[in-house]
Amino acid sequence: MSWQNYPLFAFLTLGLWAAGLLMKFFLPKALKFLGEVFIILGMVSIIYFTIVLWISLERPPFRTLAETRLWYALFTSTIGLIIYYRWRYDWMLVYSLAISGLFLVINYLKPDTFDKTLMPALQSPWFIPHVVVYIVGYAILIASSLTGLKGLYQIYRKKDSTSTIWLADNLVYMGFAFLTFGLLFGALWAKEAWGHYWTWDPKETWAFLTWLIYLLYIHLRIHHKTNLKFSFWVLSLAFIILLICWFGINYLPSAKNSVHVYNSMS
Amino acid sequence: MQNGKKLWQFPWSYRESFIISGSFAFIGFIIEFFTNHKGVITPPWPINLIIILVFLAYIIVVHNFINSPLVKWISSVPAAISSVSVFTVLVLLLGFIPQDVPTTHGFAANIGLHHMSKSWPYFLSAFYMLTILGFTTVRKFWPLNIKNIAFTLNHAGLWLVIAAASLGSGDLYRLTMSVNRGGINNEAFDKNNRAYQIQFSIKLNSFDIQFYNPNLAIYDNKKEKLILDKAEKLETANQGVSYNWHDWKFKVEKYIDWASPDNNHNFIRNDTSMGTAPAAYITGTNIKTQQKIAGWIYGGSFIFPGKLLELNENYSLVLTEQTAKKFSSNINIYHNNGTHIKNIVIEVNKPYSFRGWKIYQTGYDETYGRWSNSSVFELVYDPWLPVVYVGIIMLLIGSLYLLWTGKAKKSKSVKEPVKEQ
Repeated sequence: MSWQNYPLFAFLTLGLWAAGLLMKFFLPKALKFLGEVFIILGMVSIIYFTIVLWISLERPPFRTLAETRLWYALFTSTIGLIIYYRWRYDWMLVYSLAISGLFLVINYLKPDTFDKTLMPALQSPWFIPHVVVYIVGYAILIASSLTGLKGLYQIYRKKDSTSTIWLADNLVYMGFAFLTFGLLFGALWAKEAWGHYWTWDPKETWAFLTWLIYLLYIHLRIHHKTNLKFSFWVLSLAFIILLICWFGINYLPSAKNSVHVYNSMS
Repeated sequence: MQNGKKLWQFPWSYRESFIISGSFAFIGFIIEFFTNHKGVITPPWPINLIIILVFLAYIIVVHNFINSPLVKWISSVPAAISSVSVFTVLVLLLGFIPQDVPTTHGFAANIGLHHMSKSWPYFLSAFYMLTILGFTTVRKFWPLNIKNIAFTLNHAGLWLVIAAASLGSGDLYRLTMSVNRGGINNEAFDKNNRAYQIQFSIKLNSFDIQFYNPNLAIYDNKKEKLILDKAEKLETANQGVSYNWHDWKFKVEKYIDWASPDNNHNFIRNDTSMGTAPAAYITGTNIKTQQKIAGWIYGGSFIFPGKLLELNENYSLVLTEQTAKKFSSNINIYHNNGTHIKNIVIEVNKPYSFRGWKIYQTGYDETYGRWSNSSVFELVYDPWLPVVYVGIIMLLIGSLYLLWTGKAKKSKSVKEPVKEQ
């Protein structure tokens, strides 16, 4: 087994997921569980491929970009499924499978199966968990911001937005938990790689800021006293901070020497 | 929203909270200004431990024995939000303003904006936030139930991390030590170049480094720099690899890892003697003009100059500089009295713990690359690390609870306020 077999398993997974989602939404209630069975089978296909690849490579498949994306796809869909079972948000299932499917498709289109040039500090068992929890956290918080915009629209149209704020709150709690994992995994990794768990590296600073903003949101919502419009605005503002942390950091003059800006070739 | 309540009349709310939080930062800026922006110097052991214990005792005693609206307020949501907000604004400044720049003039420098994390406003705001966090934690500590335990894990965990990380920084040493091949050293330097004698010595037996193959890239002859198109992936130089750039099609006919030039500018040798570098024999065709080209490109080293392959007067094909894949040092550790203690190999991401110190592989002499004659280590001494880790583990467990329960919908009876327009 090698990457040559990848398209077979990737398309099997994508097909099973698509079929599973269709069944979930269009079959009569008694048969809906079939959809979930298909989705899980799709995950089994990708897990099977990963395990057999692992055995045939005789090393953990962490070394190439394609191998890394395989893990992203695997974990994002798994976490999505767990969240779905916990909270029964149908869209969360679609959303996480879509992100996961995107990684699978990128792997098919750009099979970067050669060893990636990963600087020594990045070659660590922390790499995958650190990135995966941030992918999932960001995905959930992006959803919370969309929910926030929906709430603002509802207020604008003078519609009831109570259920919207409940959903937003719940998403922020989940996303915040993942942000905390990401931040702390990052700190534990930094201690191993760079000698200290916290060095105010610009990416750290902005990740901490993102965390603080959502921390503020959570506290604002404790007594449900704050007016909804303000809460929805805070969610939208938090999203901007999150985007600066994710992409914007590369353009900040204060972030020139960040260890997280990887365009060192010049 | 304050229902006509007078300012400073209890119970205090957001107005009072924000005035107090803001004052802490403001006073900090003033101190910074009048102390010549020296920043805060964290006290060393055992003063920092005493401060933390007194601080904790103070919080517990005041919370349990003093019944005043002030004590009630200090663990309230408005107090928490105001202190976190002001703290966030300071961290925002830290995020936007370049830190640790050698500017000593100007208003920003005078009020400590260029060393925010060591400045008085940051310190006072963090201290104030810790006070509120501390009172909030002890208020919710009892009765013991799953919800309060999770609450305590999150709040006390954060308290521990911030308190131990900031007050513990007075005991933190991060030193750099460079050891020559075959040499032995016990002197290390901090970032201000102050020398320290460590209780043990390090002898460098050997230094091993592996590189990734270089990439093929196009060089702009006139601008004298590489053309790095972000959308294009650089191709790694390897036998048989083809690489396309605009109308050009290149093929690597031959790739040699350790090459040096002979008298005819051919790169045939393949040995690991000093100064050898990667070379590739390239053939190329321009599909538009049918121009053909062939020749060696060479990475070059501190002994041999590199060689590029000119396509025309504007552009050339080159090999990029190699990036390190993995490097490690085989070292012996000795007592300063000469007794041998340990032989180990350390590499990046695999530090070695020794008598309270952690030894990290951080660098080597980059001019000499694979023939580097020295290895650079970072030595870190951080006695507060276990306390910080306890806090981190508490936060991780607390977050798991957050993830699982989410925002529990239990309070359905609580009505959302009347919506504004």
